[in-house]
Amino acid sequence: MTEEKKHKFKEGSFLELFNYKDLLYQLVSRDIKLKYRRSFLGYVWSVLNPLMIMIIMSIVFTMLFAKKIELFPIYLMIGRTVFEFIRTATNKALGAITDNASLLKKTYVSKFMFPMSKITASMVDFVFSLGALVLLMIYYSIVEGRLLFTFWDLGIIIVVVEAYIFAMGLGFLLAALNVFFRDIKYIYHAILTAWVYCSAIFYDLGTINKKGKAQIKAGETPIALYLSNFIQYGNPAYIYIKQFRAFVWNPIIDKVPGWHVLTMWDFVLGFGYAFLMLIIGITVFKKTQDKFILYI
Amino acid sequence: MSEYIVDVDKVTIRFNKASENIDNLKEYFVKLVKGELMFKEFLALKDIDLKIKPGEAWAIIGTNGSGKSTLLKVISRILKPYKGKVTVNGTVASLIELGAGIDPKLTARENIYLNGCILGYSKAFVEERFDEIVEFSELEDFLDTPVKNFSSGMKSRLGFSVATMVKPDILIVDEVLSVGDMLFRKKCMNKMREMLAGGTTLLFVSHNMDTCKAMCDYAIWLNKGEVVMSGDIETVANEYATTIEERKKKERAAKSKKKKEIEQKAKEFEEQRLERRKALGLSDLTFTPPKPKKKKKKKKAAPKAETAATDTQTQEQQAQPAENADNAAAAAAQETVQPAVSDDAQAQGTPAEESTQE
Repeated sequence: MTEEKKHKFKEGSFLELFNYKDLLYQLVSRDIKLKYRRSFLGYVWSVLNPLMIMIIMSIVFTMLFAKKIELFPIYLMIGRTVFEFIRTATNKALGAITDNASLLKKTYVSKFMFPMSKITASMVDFVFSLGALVLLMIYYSIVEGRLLFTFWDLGIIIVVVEAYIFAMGLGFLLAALNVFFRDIKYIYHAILTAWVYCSAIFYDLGTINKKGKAQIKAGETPIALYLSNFIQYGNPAYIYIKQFRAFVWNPIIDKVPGWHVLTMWDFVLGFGYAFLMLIIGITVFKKTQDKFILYI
Repeated sequence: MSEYIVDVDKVTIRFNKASENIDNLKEYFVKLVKGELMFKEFLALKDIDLKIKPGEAWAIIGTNGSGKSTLLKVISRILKPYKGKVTVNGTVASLIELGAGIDPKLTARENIYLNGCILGYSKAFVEERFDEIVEFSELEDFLDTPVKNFSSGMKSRLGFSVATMVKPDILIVDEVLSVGDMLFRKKCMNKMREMLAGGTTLLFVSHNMDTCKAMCDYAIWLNKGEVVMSGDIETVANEYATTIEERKKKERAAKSKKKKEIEQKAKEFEEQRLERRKALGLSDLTFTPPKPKKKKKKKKAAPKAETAATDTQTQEQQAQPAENADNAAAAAAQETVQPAVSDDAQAQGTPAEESTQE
């Protein structure tokens, strides 16, 4: 038999993806190629774009907030880059099944492939866009006259893995839901907007927490405290941003606020949420995938 | 492994034929509250049995909507059966629609890799056969052109070449060869024959009985999701052809009958209309186009009407002069521009109009 297709993993399972790992590579490289081939500046855009947004936001928020955050542009850039990854990855995954309807109707491919390729492409893009952060840190190294890169920076690999797994789970869930309910994307966009503001991207969660404590003292309902607790423990995006900051931002500032110190629990929560989301996503996707064809 | 390479065992496929597909949350909740969520069952395939031994070539025939493509989709794992079981012992290359995975923004070269991978081959495997694919598709000069600039024939050449680069155990072909030029079509046929000779099992859908007969040994005939007949190609194809012929005859007879009925009805309505108009005392000549020569003919036609409805004469006479004035003005304008043409038009136009009036 000249055929060399190997089917190691069961049809319809998540692991079936690995039967098609070359296809995953092709799809991811297609997405990245098309993204950078189309524009004149190519890769430069994915660095320039976050830098420009960072400059605008830095100016706005340093004027807005009384309490200064040390090396605010780096602080901000970290939050934005991580959140942007979760946002684009899940957004692209959301439409992955419905956009590939014509293909799914004509050939059999593991359906996990499509959200997976979108999320992976976004992850690669995320790693590329870290170039903007590197540029920013080089700039501040020169301005401050000291090297802002530390050995700790390597820790971000853990963060990337966590965020990738989390985005995968959420992406599968959204992609499956979107097949049956096409208005999920509008709901999800609203959720994303709320999520941005709940992820302490441009503010310090400590301030909210302090405000909550003040509310207790004043005898009011400590809404701010509830909020900060919720963000701290219940928002995976914040947990990943916090970890990222702990690896890159904490080592280079003078006085690390207690709020930003990492503990073991941050990793437990971070991985916990990631795998929980992955299990939910895969389960929902697997249960519903045979019906996709009837709705797309 | 059983002796069959494809074993379709009492497969039923169910679709939801609800009048509107609910595909968003808002509608879902509205319908849920109203209690209008329903499932209208539609069986695209009913208890289909099909057993194919390795190396056989089967044609699937039937009219549009008989479930041919659905059956192919079940075999190529795209659709899951609602009831029954499908066992396929081997690799399937399905050409249900060529170029399903072709991305128009990528070049032909990139698409060959992408499509190969979609079909489940590894990149190294495609690489090995790359030259062979390119040679077969005859697209050497366009390898680095984005596929969006390709013609549909070129696209299907690309798709076919990738899909048939290896010898799959089962090849599924669904009317994909209708595009592409004659020469390429012959080439595809040869390739398929070559594969057949090499032991590949073929499942072929076509409306062209001659192609089916040329390619296949067996046939299964589907009608509205049910097997009408299955067996060797000659008997099934002939039976199918005669049935189709009979059905066509019946349809033709039904059509001409219907046509007659419609004409009859139109006539009745026309008569009714004329009577009504007469009863109201209106002229039945109101719609005649503005042609001066018609005046004579009108006078011919008018007396008939007058005899039938003598009481209304005065009204008609009042109505006619106004019309005539209009007609004359329009006709004068026409004649000054193109006298010869307007004469012709009148000559042709009047008899037809008369017939409708009568």
